[in-house]
Amino acid sequence: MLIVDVVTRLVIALICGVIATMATREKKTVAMLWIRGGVVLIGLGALTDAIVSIATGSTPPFVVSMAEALLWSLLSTVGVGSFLRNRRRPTLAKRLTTTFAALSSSFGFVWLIGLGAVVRREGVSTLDRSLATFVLLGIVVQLTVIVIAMRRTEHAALPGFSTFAGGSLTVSFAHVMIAFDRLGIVSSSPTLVETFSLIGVTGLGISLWFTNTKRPNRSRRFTVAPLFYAPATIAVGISIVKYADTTDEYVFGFTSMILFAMLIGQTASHRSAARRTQAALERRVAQRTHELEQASQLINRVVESTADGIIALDPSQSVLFMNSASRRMLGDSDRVLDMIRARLMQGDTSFDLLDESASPPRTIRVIGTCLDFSSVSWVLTLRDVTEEMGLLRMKTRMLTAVSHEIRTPLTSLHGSLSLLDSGSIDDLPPDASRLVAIARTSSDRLLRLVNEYLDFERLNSREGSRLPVHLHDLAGVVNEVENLMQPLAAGRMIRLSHDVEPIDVPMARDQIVQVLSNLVHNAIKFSPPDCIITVEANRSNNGVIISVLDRGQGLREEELEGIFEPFFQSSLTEHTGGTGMGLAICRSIVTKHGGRIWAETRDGGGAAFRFTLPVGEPSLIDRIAS
Amino acid sequence: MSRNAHAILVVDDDENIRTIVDLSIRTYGKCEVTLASSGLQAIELVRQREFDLIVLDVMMPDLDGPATLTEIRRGIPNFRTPVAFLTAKAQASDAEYLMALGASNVITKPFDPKGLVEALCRIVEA
Repeated sequence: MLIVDVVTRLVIALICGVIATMATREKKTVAMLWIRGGVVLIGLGALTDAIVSIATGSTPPFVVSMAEALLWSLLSTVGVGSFLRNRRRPTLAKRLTTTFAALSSSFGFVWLIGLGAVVRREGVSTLDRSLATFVLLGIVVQLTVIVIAMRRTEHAALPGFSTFAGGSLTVSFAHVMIAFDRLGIVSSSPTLVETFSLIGVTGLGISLWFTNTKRPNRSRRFTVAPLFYAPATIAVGISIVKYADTTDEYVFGFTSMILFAMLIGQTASHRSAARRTQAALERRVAQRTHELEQASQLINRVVESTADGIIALDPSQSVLFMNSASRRMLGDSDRVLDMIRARLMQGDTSFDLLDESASPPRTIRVIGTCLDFSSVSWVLTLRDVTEEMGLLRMKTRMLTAVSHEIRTPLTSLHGSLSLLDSGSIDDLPPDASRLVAIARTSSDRLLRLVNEYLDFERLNSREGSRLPVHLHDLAGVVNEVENLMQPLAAGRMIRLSHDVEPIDVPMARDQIVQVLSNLVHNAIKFSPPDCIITVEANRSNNGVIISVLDRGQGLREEELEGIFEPFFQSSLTEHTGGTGMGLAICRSIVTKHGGRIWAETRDGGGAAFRFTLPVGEPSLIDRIAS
Repeated sequence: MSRNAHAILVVDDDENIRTIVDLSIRTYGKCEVTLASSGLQAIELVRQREFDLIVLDVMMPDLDGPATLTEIRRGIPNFRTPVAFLTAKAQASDAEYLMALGASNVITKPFDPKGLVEALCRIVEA
């Protein structure tokens, strides 16, 4: 009978273990560990019974109980050891708290095991109601330990502790059965008790696992009021006074009181640990806040000490931050800031603003950087360039004045030489006539240089970044330039052709005629006889690209960029008497239309000079397309 | 009223320019040229006799071209003689300003002698 009983319990333990493993899949989950604890306890109890029975040929209840108590205590110790080895608990306070909880649990085992031993030794008939009360109180202790484990999930996750909890729960179930048996509510056998306990703990473990999986924070909701322990201690004290009359009962009664007292101490320890942790956290937060404040002060001091203004705007272009330099520059009114906002809206990110309301008027250079942050959309750098601009204006004024002063004597020189060279005054001797011709050519060149320089300065000193434009037919402009250049081209046996559809383009007409004439003139100068120079216009995404294509000597790769700089002298211009200003003027004009100009080397020889003119509103492009 | 030669008054403080304008007109055109070296002198001459055209330099010491024109107009209520300005300033805005004063033409320095005379002839023959 005994062997059958032991084998039945072992089989049940094995089945429960397999079900638990299959149900929870992961071996490290809390639920799995709980079930493992229960299975191991029951399995060990059954094995102990078997070994003792085989060794003694009988089943003396006291010996079996003591052996079980020993084994279960051993298991508790192993659990505590495994907990202590666990290095994942970072602070001593936490480690001590959890150790305390684990030790309480172990004491709970010992006590319940001792109780079980009395039941077996004395026989059920000798137990009275007071013993049943102790059993139920013991269950309260076990459940309390489990609730603490559930409440502090990081402890419940410890393998050792979870194993105790599972074991405790199983034993609690067993003792519920014993207590009910004592009170005459049900009658039970050891096998029935342990089977019921195992099924109970397995079911609870699986349900807990499901709860934790579906609602990870659910287990944290189990809380135990600390005051719970005090009435429990008092209840045990009353039970002892009222019911205990044997030494064993007193021993068990006082043991349970000590346990409750320990639980109270544990709770207090939990609380003080929590307070210490909180205090440490607060200190750390304060320290971090201080460090952050210092870092922020440093950045603030740096930003405030710069001579340049720095402004941050949010997506609605309201000011998020403004340093003192920008406050000085902008003054109290929002006028300049509104002008900046308007320019940003137009798509300008780098521009000079003239603040006429200041006295004297100031020029502020604004550079905007667009950011992708959700809170900051623009960072603006402001620099007062009034002095710089003043110097620039003075330089321009001086150069312009010098150029004007040059023009007056040039007028006399040019006029005199022209009159002499025309032969209308008197016929000159041949040598004198040749010298006059040389002098006239040179004065022409000087005059052209002065005029072109003045043109360039005039374009660049113009207020605003754009030239005023009106709609003009591009084909008409190209035709005009072709007619203008025809005599020069014919003189060099060069043919001009164009491929331009009628397109209305917004432009400053005279200036675009100047650009095209300049480019065609250059092409004629650098092309050998019998060549064709072609002017093309093609629509691009947002405008037109106008190209002047020749089959001349072409350009060197390193010249392609610098060729548009003022006074640039290429290897070719030395022989053609160019002033080096023509292409610089072209670039100024095109830039002031919002376009771009560049040069390319053509496949098969020759150069291509191209520039773009923006067409502006899409409806205009549509009109051209239709 | 028909005349053999148109009478042109040339006002410029620069003697060289006066000479060249004079020579140019006499070489390429059939006009009678009177020279004045200042605005005041020009005002005096205009009071004394009638001209078909006045060529006024813009930048002159004391009384500049536009001021001279204003003075002449104040002195002679029904003054209708065409005026051409000579200027070293080539800015379009300057030319617009001078045209607004009632000039018939604005000729920028330096000029081509033949071109200058053609421009002046167009005014007097208009």
